[in-house]
Amino acid sequence: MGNYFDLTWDRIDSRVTADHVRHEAAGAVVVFEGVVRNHHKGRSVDRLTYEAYEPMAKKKLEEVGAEAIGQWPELTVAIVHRLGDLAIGEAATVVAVSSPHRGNAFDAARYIMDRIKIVVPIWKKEWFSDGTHEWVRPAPQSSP
Amino acid sequence: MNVKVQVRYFALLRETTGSEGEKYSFPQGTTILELRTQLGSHRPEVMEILSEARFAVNEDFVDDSYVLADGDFVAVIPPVSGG
Repeated sequence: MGNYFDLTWDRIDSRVTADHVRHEAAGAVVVFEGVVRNHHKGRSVDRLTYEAYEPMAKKKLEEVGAEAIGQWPELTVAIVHRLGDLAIGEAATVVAVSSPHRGNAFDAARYIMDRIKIVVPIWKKEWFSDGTHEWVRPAPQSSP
Repeated sequence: MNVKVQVRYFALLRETTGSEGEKYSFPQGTTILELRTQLGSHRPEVMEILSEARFAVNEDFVDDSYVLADGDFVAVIPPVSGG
């Protein structure tokens, strides 16, 4: 129970992640899953690989959580990011937040995801159906 | 007296260099900006990646004016794509 931050090579169960933030004063629990999709810029994608600079990635997840709590003090935060090879439909990231009321929970979940995409040293490689693969080079402003 | 630092590569940079990283020795006072240039001249194939990369020292982002200290662990961070 309480704030929780982790990197894992195993499938993420978002219900387990959400259970970290549930408590009796929290009337709102928002769970976001970032899921592996089967296409990117019009190309068919078979799977993804995620690589991290692990100690720094873990530290940055904790910092992003702390930033969110700084902004919304009644928040409880759990963030889990998957590493290694992922199939289509699997969760790459799960963010669960709880708050007394829904507004802050929705806002915080979005804030956390946006920050993860900027400050956490994790990289995604796409394996395309045509047999090629490449590391994703994010556009300056990725699709929110 | 030189400073010895360990440089680590990740993702695109690791694959392009075929290396997890290298140990370097630089004159005292060497900045991240100078390191960026040195790495690029040492390995021209990664010049473009280096120009887009951020640098972290001992697990925190630093800017180009950071002065390397002996024993620093320097990670080259190409644009991230997690989440």
